[in-house]
Amino acid sequence: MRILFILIIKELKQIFRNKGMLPIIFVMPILQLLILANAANYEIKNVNIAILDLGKNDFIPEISAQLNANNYFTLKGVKYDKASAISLLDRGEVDAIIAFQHNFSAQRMPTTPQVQLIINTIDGASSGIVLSYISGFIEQYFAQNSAMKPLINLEYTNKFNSKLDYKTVMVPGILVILVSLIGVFLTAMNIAREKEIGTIDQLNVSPITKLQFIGGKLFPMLIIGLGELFFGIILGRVLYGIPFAGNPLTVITFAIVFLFVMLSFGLLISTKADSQQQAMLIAYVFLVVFIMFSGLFTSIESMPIWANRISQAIPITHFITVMRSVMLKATPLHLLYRELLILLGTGGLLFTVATLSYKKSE
Amino acid sequence: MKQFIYFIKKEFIHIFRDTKSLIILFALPIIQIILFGFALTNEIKNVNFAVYDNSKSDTSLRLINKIDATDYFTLHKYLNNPDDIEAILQSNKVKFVLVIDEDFSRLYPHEKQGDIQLLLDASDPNIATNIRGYLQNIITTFSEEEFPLSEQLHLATTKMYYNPELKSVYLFIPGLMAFILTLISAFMTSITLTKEKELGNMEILLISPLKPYQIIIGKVIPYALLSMINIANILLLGTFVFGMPLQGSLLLLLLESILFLLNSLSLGILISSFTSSRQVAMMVALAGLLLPTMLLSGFMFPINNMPLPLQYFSKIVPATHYIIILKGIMIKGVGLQYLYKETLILALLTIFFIIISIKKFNVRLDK
Repeated sequence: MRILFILIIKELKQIFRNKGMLPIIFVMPILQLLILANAANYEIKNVNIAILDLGKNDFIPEISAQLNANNYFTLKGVKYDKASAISLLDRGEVDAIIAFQHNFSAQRMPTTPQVQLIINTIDGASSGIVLSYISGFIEQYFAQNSAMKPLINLEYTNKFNSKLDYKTVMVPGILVILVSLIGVFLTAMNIAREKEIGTIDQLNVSPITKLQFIGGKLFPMLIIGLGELFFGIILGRVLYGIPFAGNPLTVITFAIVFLFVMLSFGLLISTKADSQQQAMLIAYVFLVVFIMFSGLFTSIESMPIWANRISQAIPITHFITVMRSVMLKATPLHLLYRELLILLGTGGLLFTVATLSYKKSE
Repeated sequence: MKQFIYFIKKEFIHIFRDTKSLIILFALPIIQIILFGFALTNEIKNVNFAVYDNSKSDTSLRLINKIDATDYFTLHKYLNNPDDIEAILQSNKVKFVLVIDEDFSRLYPHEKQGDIQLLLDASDPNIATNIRGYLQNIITTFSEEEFPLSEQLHLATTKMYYNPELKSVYLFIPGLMAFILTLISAFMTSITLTKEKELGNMEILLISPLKPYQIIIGKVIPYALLSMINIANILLLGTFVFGMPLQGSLLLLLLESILFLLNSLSLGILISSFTSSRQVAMMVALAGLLLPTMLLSGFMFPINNMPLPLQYFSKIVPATHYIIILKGIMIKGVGLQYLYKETLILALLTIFFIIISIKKFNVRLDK
C-alpha cells in the first residue's frame, strides 16, 4: 500500500514538473470547452432567404416584415421571376427561397401546391431544420391571417430544454469527450514514454508488482480526470447556465466507472505501442471513431443497425447518455442501471486484457 | 543534390520501418470515410415514440398507424397512465409522447379542431425541431386524406438544391480531405522534425553538408507524397462508393489541394520550430490544428451559427477556405472565377506561415 502511495506521489510530481504539458492538461480543456460550446451549434439563426412571388400577391410586404422580425431569418430580397431567384441561391447569397406559386386571393385555389420551398441542402445537417422552421413559419402565418386553418392542431411542449438551447445539450457531452481525451492520451503516452526513454526497465527490475505499477499510473489520472469533469460542470453552470437537475452522486459514480474504462483503454494502447508517436496515433484513431459514434453530434437512432451496434459498444456513448439524462432530465440511478452494467463490464474486460498484456519481463 | 536524395531516401526508410504508424496513416482516411459515409446522418429515422390515447377512436388509431408506418417513427408503447409519461422520457426509451385529446374523434364534421399534444424530449433541440416538422407534415397529409374537400393550405413540394437526397457524405468528404491533409502533413511533419531535436539528431543534421532548407524539405517530401496518395484514395472512395459528384475541373481540384498541402506542411514546420519535445508538439498540433480544422472550419458545424469572435477566427483556419473551394468545385461545379478569393487567402496564409517559420528556424539549437 505504501509503495502504491509513493508511486502515485511520484507520478503526480512528474506531471506537475513537466511545464510543457501542464497547460495542455489544465488550460486546453477549458479552452476547448469554451470554443466547442460556442462552435458546436446547429442552432439555426440568420438564415438568408428570398421570396419569389409568381402571383402578384398583396400580402408580400406583410410577410416580409414578419420574416425580418423573426430571429431565424434574414430576408435578402423579393424576386418576381424564377431565374433571378435561383441565381441568388447559386451565388450562395441565400440558403432558401419561399416561392408563392399563385395569386392567393383568387376565388378558387388550384389544388396543386401553393407554396414551394427551395432549399440549398449542401449542408445536409442544417437544411432539414431550416425546412422545419420555414414551413412552421408559413403555416403559422396563414393560420393567423387566413381562413385556412389546420384541422388537426398539434400543440407541443419542449421538455427538459424548453428554450431549445444548444449549449445545454452539448456541454455535458463535450465534458465527456474532454475527459476521455485527457484520460486516454495521457495514460497511453505516459507509459509509452517510459518505454521510449528506458525508465520502464528500471521499474520492471524494481520490487513493485504489476498491479502496483498499474495502480500508480491510473490513480493520478483518475484524480485529474474527476477534477476536470467537475470543474467543467461548474464552469458550464457559471458561464452558460447549464442546469444540473439530477443527483451529483449518480454522476460521480458513473464518472469513476467511466474513467476506469477509459484509463484501462489507454493502458492497453500503451502496452501495444512502441513509441509515444504510435501511442498517440492509435489513441487518435480510436477516439475519433468513438467520438463520431458516440451520438454527440448525430443521433444514434438514425444510424444503420450495424453502426448502431458499434455505438452501443462504445463507452463514451453511454456516459454521454448518462450525463445528459442526469443533468437535464434528473433521471434517477435506477433507470440507468443498464448503462452502469455495460460500463462496468467494458472496464473489467479492458483492465484484465491490459493487465495481462503488460509484462514485467520482456 | 546527391546528398539530398540520400537524405530523402533515409526519411522514407524511417517511415516504412514504423509499420504500425504507416498502416494507420493509410487506413485512417479509408476507415473514417466509410464510417462517416455510411453511419452518420442527421436525418430522422426510427425515432421511438409513445402514445397516450384518450380518445381511443378509429381516427386516432389510423393516425397512429400512419405515423408508425413511416421510416421516421416507430411506436414503442401505448401508455395507460399519464404518470408514465415523465419516466419514459427520462429513461431515454422514447423521444416524444403523443397525447391525443378525448375529443379527437369528434373532428367530423369539422366543428372544432382536433387536438394532439406533443411532448418532446428537447434535450437535443435539433432532433426535437426535426421531429416536430416531420410530424406536422404527416398530420397535415393525414387531415387532407381524411377530409379531402376542405380548403387547406397545401404547403408541399420542397425542392432540395445541390444535394437533393440530403446526403451528409457530401458535406463530410470535403471536410475529411481537409482534415486528413492537416493530420498527415502538419501533424506528422511537426512530430518528425521535433523528434530530431529531442533525440539530438538535429545537431548532427545541421553540421552535415545539407543546408537547413534541404533538411526541412527532405523531411517534408515523404509526408507530402503520403498525403497525395491519401487524397487520391479519398476522391476515389468518395466518387465510386458514395457517388460524390465532381462537377468542376479535376485539375483545379488537384492544384488547390497542392496549395492546401503546402499550407499544412508549412504549419507543421512552424509548430516544430517553437516546440522542443514531441509530446508538446503533438498536443499543440492536436489543439491548435486538428481541433480547429474539425470544429471551426465548417466541417462539423455551420460557421454562421458561431459567435462573432469564432467566426473571425474561422477565417484564419486554412481548412475553412479549402472546404469552400472543394464544395464549390465538387458539388456546385464552379470554376476559379468564383473561388479566387479563397484561393488567394490560402496562398497568402501559406506564404505568411513559411516566412515565420524561416525566421523562427534556428540553425543553432541552444539560444
